[in-house]
Amino acid sequence: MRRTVPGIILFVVGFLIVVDFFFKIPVINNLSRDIRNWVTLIANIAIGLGGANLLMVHTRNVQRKKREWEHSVVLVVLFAVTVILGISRSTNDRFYRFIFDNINVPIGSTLFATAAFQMASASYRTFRVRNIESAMLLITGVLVMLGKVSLGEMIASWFPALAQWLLDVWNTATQRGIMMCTAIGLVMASLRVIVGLERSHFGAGE
Amino acid sequence: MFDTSRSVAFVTLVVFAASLYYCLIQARRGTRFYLRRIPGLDAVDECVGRAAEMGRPIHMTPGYGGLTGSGAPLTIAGLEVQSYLARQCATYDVRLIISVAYPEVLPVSQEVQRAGHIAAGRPETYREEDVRFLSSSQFAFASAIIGTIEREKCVANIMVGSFAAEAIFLAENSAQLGCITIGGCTNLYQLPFFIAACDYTLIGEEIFAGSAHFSQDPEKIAVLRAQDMGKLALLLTLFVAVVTALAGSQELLKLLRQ
Amino acid sequence: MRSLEKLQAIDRRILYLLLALAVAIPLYKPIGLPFTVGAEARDSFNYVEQNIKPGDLVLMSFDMSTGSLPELEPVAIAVMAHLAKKGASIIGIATAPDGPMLAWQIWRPFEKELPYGERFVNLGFLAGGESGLAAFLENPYAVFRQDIRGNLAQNIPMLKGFKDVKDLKMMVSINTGPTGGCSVAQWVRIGFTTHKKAVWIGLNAVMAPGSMPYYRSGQLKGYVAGTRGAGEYEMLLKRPGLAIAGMDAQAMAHALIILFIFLGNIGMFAVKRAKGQRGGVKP
Repeated sequence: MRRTVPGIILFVVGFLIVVDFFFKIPVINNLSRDIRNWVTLIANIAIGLGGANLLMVHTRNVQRKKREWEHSVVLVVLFAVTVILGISRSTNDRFYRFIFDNINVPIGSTLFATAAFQMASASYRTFRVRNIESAMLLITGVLVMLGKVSLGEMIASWFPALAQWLLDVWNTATQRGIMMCTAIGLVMASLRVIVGLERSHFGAGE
Repeated sequence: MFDTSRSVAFVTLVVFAASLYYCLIQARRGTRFYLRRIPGLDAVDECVGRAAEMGRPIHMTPGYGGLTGSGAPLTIAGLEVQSYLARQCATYDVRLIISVAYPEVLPVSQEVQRAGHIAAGRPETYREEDVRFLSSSQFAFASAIIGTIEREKCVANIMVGSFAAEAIFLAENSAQLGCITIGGCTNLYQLPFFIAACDYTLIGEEIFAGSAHFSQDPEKIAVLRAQDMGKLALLLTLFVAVVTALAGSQELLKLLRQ
Repeated sequence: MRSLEKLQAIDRRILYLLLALAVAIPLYKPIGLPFTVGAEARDSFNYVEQNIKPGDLVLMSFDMSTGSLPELEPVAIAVMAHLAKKGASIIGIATAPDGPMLAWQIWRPFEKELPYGERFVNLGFLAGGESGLAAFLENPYAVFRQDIRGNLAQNIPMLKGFKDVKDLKMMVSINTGPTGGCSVAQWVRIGFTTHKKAVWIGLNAVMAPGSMPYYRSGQLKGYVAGTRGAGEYEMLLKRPGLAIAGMDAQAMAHALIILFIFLGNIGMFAVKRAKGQRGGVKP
């Protein structure tokens, strides 16, 4: 029952969405549109669930004085302030926007910027000529890195064109191959889930 | 009634469904299809073994994707890996910490975790707080994971699902913290980072093989076989289209462009 | 030889410090390295230049996160400036949660050129990803009854002529990938494949190789990737901005990373040779 009912719902909904994509049948098209609206609704309601889980985990950290519990206090306080401001005064309110513009945006941008450092250390660690494949990876990586910035143009006028050729021909062909295989995998995975062959996400735990 | 502008997509879907049906029938009649070993998935057991020896937890995330849109199959692929991992960890008394990025994934992930503990015969070892919603903000999610790994001294970080720019952040930081890293995603622009930074990588469609790989169930392997048959049909169609185009006829190409 | 061997295990903090300097110094003191405009930026520019007329409605989706703002803001500002110059009106939505707030930041410099309600509107966050977007394009006012300021959407002057997707001239997505919003593939599926509309994408440089097939096959009419793409667009628009300023820093960063890769390989070969000289097993 626990797995059968969700399975039936999944099959019916999946079938309707697929039929809606290929056929213009008003009843099914309207039903499919309603289902898409329900998806939006469920996603929004789930935000509350996620917030509750977040609070539960971090208040427990504070109660049990786990390692670095002080960070959990900061999280809980900021969470509460932002939620209360957002609900009571709307997200257009200047205090809410102050928090967003002066805390959220700088922190997010800074963390994204650290990805450049991670890429640098990953490249340094990994781009070693251990075999033919890694040598090819190294050579093409260096050529594209040089060709896409002004340095490549300064080295030789054909550098950018070479880098672009590598991207247009080799990269695009490979990406298309992976993309097509992944798309087939996605279709099959979806079919598998819709027809009920895959049910581990229902908590079956085979 | 039928939208003729989507006829190519419809025929493709019918071909895939037919190959799936055929392979399933063959599997039920006793045919055993071959499935190669996938190093990234084999390494999952290695992680559990190492964690059991060292008495430290494993961290796993089904990715930065929800259960809506095209990220859903990827998240489900991650949940398949979590399902196996939960059972193995419960069996060997290893703590498994799960981080999710989308609230709608949280109850599903908790249920998968709980079912894994029940399947291992150890329902009492399930801890709800080990499955956590972190944040839907990309780098808040990634930093929280690295913080978790650092504080809990996790021995492995398994990342299977949908990932975006945080992939390099997660993979490289986990590697620097001494974790065994297994990364799997289908995002073309993040795969190179996983390949560069992770110990094991599941490339593209390999992430959908988790369930079949772990269970060795003939029907699940048959689905992968059907996938390969679909790929072959597509390759043949492309080959014919290229040959006819070179011969001067663009009809098949025009049809495929629909 | 031992010093060469150390090259393969340089402390990553030294790499981070040098990288930070390589980026910061050119920003403070620009070098002025020349660069040429590529075909993608030129085609993207030409598409807007030749197809957008005064009064056209353009959907602009801010599918970005706070993390990607430094890289995507120049792209967004450049295309918004171009659309403003061509007389288009912009309907702002966001399929990523941070998008609506970031939209204000990007629109602020254009407050006079694109007055709110007359040539720009921020409808807010569109939940549900691809499903939400599909629903919006079919019946916008069922999804957005109000704009983000609480005004009734159907009463907003610039939306008087907007009934559904057919009234849009072009769809622009400033896209950071599937981070809660619609990805490039989803925009292509919904915008181009389903509704046969021109889809114009501004994206992170890291996404460029993966999204190139869509551009090469003609499914994307605009394809501006990262700081480099934004810099080229600014050159074409004759409106130098953040992107052009960042080009030198990007070049120096690339050069440093390449240098360290070579140093690492020199170190690796030195170790291999040393193992051979110390009586290790020859390969």
